[in-house]
Amino acid sequence: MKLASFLLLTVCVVALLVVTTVRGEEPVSERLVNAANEPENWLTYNGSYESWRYSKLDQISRHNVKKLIPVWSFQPGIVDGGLQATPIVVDGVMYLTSSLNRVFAIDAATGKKIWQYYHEIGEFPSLYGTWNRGVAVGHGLVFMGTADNYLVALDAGSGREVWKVEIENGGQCGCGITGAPLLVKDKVIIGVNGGDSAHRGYLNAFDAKTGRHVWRFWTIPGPGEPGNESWKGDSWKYGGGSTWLTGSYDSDLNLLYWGVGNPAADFYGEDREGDNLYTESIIALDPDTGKLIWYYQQIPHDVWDFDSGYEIVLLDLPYEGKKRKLIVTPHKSGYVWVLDRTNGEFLNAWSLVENTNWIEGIDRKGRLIGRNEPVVGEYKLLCPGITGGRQWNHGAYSPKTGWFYSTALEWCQQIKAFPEKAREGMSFFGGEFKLVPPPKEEAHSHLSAYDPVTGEHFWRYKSKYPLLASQLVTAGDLLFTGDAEGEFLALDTETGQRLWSFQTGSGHRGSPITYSVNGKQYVATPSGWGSAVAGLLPQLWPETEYFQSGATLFVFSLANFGVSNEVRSE
Amino acid sequence: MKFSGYYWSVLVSVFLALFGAKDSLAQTKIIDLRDPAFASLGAPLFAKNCAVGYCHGSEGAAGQGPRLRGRHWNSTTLFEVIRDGIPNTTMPGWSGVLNQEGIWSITAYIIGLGTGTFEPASGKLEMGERIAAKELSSKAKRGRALFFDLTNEKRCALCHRIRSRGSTIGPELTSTTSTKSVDELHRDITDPSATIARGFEQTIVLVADGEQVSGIKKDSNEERIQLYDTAALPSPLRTFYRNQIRGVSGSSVSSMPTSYGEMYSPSELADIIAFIKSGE
Repeated sequence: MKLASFLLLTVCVVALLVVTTVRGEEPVSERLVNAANEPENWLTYNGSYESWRYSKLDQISRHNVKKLIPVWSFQPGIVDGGLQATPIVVDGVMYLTSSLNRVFAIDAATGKKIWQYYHEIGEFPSLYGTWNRGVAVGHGLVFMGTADNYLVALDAGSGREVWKVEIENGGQCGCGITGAPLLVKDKVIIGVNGGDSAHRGYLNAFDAKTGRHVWRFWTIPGPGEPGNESWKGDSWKYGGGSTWLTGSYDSDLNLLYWGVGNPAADFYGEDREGDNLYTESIIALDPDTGKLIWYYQQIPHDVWDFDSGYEIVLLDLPYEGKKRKLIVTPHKSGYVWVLDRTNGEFLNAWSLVENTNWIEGIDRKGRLIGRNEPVVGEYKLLCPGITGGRQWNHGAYSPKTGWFYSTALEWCQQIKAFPEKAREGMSFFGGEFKLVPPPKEEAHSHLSAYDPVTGEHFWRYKSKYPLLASQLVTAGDLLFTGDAEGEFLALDTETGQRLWSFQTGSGHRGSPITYSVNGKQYVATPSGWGSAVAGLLPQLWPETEYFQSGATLFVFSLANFGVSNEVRSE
Repeated sequence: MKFSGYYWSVLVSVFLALFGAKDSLAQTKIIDLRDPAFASLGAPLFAKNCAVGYCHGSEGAAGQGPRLRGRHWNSTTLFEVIRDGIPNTTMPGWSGVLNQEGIWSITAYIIGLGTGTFEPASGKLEMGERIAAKELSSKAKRGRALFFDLTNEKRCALCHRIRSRGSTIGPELTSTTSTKSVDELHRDITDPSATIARGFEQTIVLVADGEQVSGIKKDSNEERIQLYDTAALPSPLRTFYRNQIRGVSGSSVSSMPTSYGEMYSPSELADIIAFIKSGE
């Protein structure tokens, strides 16, 4: 070999090593930690580890939103269960999931499909559907949990399967995955549903590169572990405690926050006397080890099927004159809890809904006052019902207004408990319910702007039907969301005024995002009516039985970017 | 509605075709689906299994599953859908959970929620009870619980399938009932490398980035090798594409962990073996 060739080869090898090292050490975590600073992307499920669902993009603003027009759409081809995902966008490529665990990589500027992956679903629990709420992306891989309780890793460039692992047999456990994973450093954190089945919940971490299991946090402690005494007899084995949505992460404190759902049997609690830890709790874990650092239980011994699984919004705000590291977390009960995220100290709780009678209130120490529980054998009016004072679809926080935006649902139920024995993996509700309107008004829904700490509200947008889509807020002073009748809406974040809408042809149950490619801002929203709660609406609004299902992703941008379509904007 | 002889014979024929003459001759029972007392047996079963949470709603009022109230049903079709489920949907089959009488009582209950008009098939039906599964000994029952124990992160079922349950990473065990002795099974569990089932020898893949992965090969072709990485439980199925692979070799060591002899007590091991041998 000639010297020149040798030198060239050496240079190439060194260059390759450098590139490999840089790519290998590509600071996935750092990029995710700073996700808010690259608003051209939507890197993680809730937009950032702080779960704000806020974007700094402001090209589309309250001043020009009327020029917003659809530029492309995408159809996954399965309408059962609607389209519930949050799309992820990384460097011009969108990753979208649909029902039946289909994953698509799409050119985010043109809508052209790059690759698809169809997971072959095996045994899965029928209670929780086959819909999916999104992927996590990093380390050159795309991660998805599946309805039959697998975690799958795909090559981000080609869509080829790199690894998959069956976490627990979905048919046996009555559990599966519909929520999106969270990538923290070199680990994929993934929750599980199954909280209404006879199942013992958990949160798992897998090594992103190999798929090897790293840790499991059982949400219900086993014999000999602290907290097991909060369960009567063997009830811990089948006590629910699912982790079905996606948590948040504070990189400074190195704490992973996740919500734990209801205990089972949902409505019949006599066989599980005690507080039932760590159900209905926010847990703070060391993401490297899965070790519990602190927990705060919002509802000891829940008998209403409420859930602490919703978004955990991390905010640094003054509380009683002093800046605190806060968690603001809405809850299925219709309350929003405010905690200190360094130690789990209770600070405040406020209600999203006006129609509430499951408790009389929450005292200054966080204790529930005047519990109003279902009874065995007779129907009782309780508000809100199992369908929640709010649904899982996420609220948003704008640092520009300092307000938190959330939907709320004003409805009730007639509920009757019955004793039920656990059957492993089978439904385990211990009662049945019928949706009914609140005593003094018609059932309805609203979307409001709140002070996140005190709950004071500044404007209210009302809707006849439940608002079941997530919110997106932007630096363009816009809030995007969709309604049950198929309208995709833009509201003014300061006034709540409806500025623009587009009829997508099917109701909204997913989560809109925004991103940009080559300097052009886009807004993307899933459209597609479906899901369990949507299916229950005919109990109150018979006409909703005939609301069409669908599954289409719509993407919008401003008309003056190459496409002239002034007529379309109102 | 009068129940004619024609329908009777059709129904009996349908029934025999559905459930097999042997079962029906073994045990038969006459059920009148219009009998309110029989339909009322279905009410609590419906509440626990069908109304639940987000499915068909209390008294069939609608949920994730369709509304069942106020509809017109053919009882045979309804029975079959409840028994078998609807493939590729969230409607499961209930044959493994409820006995036939239970499913018929739910059928009668749902018809009672309907329009009040009856298809011919909603009259009297003859049915045979399913012959009960072979009763396990108490030892085998304990063994079954250990084999499938979800609270144990190293349970047997993570890798082994037996009688249509469990994972297929390791050898399927149903046929082992007749071919292996108690002693052989004991040795397989406590000293996995003593004999390794054909097709389950350890494969080692050397990956281009220097990683060495050992486990059980599931599949390979010109493009890739799929390997269950048994360094972790549950074992991920990893796919290595040819351009990533530096070398592939074999080993005479079993991929099964050696810890089961210590993890289980002698009596627990005996229970698990009793279950494997039970031929349930």
